[in-house]
Amino acid sequence: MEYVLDVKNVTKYFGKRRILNGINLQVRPGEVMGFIGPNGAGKTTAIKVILGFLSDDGGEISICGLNVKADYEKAMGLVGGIVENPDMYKQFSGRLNLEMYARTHDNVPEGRIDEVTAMVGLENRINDKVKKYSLGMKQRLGLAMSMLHKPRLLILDEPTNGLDPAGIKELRDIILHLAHDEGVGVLISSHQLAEMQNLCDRASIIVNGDIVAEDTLDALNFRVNGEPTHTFDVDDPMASIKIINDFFAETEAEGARHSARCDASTGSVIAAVDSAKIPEIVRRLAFAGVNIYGVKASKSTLEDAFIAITGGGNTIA
Amino acid sequence: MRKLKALYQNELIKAVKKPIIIVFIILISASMLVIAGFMGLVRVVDVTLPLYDYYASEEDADYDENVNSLKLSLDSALAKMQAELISEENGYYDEETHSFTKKFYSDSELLYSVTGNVSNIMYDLENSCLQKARADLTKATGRSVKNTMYFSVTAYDYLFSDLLDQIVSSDANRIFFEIKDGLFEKYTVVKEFDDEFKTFEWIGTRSAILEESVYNRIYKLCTDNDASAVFEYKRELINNDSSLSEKEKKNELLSLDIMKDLYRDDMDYESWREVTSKFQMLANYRTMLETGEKSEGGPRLTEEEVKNYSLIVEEIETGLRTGANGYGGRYNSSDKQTGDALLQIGIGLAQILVIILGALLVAEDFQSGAIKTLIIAPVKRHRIVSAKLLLLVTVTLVCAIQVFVTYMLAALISGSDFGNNVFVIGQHAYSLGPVLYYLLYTLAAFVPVLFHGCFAFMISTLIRNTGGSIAVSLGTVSMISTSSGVSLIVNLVGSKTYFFRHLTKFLPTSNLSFQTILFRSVVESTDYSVMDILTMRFMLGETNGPLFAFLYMSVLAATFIFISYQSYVKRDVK
Repeated sequence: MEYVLDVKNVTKYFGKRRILNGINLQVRPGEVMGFIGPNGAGKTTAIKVILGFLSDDGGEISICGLNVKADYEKAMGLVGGIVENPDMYKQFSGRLNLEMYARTHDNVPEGRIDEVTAMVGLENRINDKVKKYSLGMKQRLGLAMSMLHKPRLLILDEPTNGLDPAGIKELRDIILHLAHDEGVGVLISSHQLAEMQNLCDRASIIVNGDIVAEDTLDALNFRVNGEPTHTFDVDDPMASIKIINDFFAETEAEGARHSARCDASTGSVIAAVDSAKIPEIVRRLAFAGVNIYGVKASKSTLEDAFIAITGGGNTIA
Repeated sequence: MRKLKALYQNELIKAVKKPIIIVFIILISASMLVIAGFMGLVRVVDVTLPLYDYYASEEDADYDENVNSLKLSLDSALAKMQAELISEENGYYDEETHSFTKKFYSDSELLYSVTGNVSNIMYDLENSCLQKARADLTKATGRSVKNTMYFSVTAYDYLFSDLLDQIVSSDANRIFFEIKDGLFEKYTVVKEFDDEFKTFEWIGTRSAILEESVYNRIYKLCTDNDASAVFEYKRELINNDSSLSEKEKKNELLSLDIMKDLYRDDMDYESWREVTSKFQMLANYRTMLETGEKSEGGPRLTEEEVKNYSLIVEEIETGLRTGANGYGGRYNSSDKQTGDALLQIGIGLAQILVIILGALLVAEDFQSGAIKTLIIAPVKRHRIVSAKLLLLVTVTLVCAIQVFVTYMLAALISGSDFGNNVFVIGQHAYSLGPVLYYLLYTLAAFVPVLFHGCFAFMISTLIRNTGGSIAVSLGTVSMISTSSGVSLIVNLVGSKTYFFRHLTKFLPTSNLSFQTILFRSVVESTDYSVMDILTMRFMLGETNGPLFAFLYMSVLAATFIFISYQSYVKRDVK
């Protein structure tokens, strides 16, 4: 399968200090990849190496199969990006900034500027000078700029900085539309982990210049928290455990069989079942006369995974 | 190419919207035109007489007193010199020509002779003119005109010790005074080393424009009245001069005739002086070539000197035939000087603009953060540098054209003919006409401007900070471009040895006034052929040729540009 972004074993030194330690990173078409890590982990450095701000000290970067070093202009023509804050020519209008940027690309059709401007909701202010823009408006303009040439890969460094909640939602909608409907591969770095959870299909976690984990969000959760569980709030925990374990015995093969357990502090029953099996279990508990007060899915977050993976050196390799 | 064009268009848009460029473009034209307007006003109103009145008034008693006391010192020094020379063995004073000569012998062989001139062909002519002018002016203004005398003295320090103590450092070898019309115009003190001269110059307190107007007025009065009588008087003097050989007489009379032919109403004083001085040179060189001696009884001319002097004679003659370089007399030096000053103002302002622009081009992107947009764009970085350099060249060219056009407008406004300019290349003279000449001159002047721009551009790529790169660029350029900067360097390394004296040739100042070097050299190129310059012959001369200057700038500019590319392309953008 061809990746829109394929970073292989990229290393970067600042002086003698190694910032990137042979990182690997792949983004597939139509996928939103979160790029997360603590401050100073090397996120922005990695993004800057990918976008050509910094030279690498080893490794290989390909964009849509094009080697960046060999085919720089072609490869970079397929990328759109925002790095840190979107800085532009502040003395010029948003439109002029877009026009100037469009000129450097080969394939920006006429009318595209109006299209992206409308997409990011800047149509009323696009002729104002950028120095009059708020940070959020600049972010929108940056996003418009990065989408101008219909890139196959979008690299966004902290794109939600300065955006209001409505802006964040719009950004999410735009990104999801680009990724899932138009097949653009998106690499986003952000500290807004809750936001990332809503946005990302996969995430890559970088710590001290090493990619320590890269997987789907569910898989990352699984690594940290094990399987997703449900909690049954019942009046007879012991009977319930027996009923659920019997159910497991019927439905799961020996060896990979789960078992329910009781949470001693609350008296609830916890079992690793997915949502599809809940109705059957509830039916059996009710048939056995157990009173059910509630069934809750235990929700582990990207934040939990992030902290578990990066925090206190407890890393999962 | 498409990407380069796109980037260039973007740079152009940025440049057009830069306030500093607009301000400077307006400033260049405005300042040149305002000065030209003032020149035109001066011409229309004719302020000559009021200025003269001011000059002749009693208000300036202190100044006159100084001049008088200096004159007294001169007079006494002159008397002393006269006495000493006459009393000395082998020294004599020629009353006819007012010159002092002392001959030095080894056994009976003449080693060399030194001559101090109080007078020459110019002296007689001018003094007669000025005496007439004084009388006419006295008549016209009803005032007595003071200090109307012309004095030119060349002498040796031991004869002038009183004056030397008063005015200059005691180790000067020679001192030249020029007092014209009572104005202490300037004196030049020459300190002579083995084979090099170091010159200190002091110019009198009167402004040039005041002096010019007074001179022109006086000169006009002379020529209007009785110029031919002056020439007849001089002809008689030459004919009766028994000290002159027949050949010398012939040459002097020839010079006088041509000088008389050149005597025109539309010439001003300075241009006439310039022309006559050329004749002086012509007569001297002809005599030298005919006798084969540097002076009578002096050392023989070397083969090289014969070659060079022949070429110079030919150049002067060509100039005289074609009216080149002021030989023709339609050369208004005061207009030309003001015109040159106008050009210099335009060029100077443009240079500051180009330096600031060069310093901003890269640094501004970094400082504003707009560099990110440039780096993310799918263009190789060397194309960005190329686009920026192209813009620098464009702005330099636009400035050059602007300065040239404004200069032509200025000529119209001020009513000036900024000089008749003729190249003498080798042995041929070419007349370009003022428009083409000044176009070429201005373009040549912008070669160093672009050079400075390249330097600032390199600083911009290295420092990446607008304030820093402007400060470093302007600071460096102004330091190395001033003669004091060069003296500082030369004094630091010492100027006594041959190597360090000639080191100055390799300093920027010796090569950056490209237009001056180019046009001077074209006019005086009889000394060196292009081959001579190519074969490092310039090493022996006092200044560099244009080819060397151009190569010097090209090599340095290429280095600046190379460093700029390396810095922009290779360095990380953090």
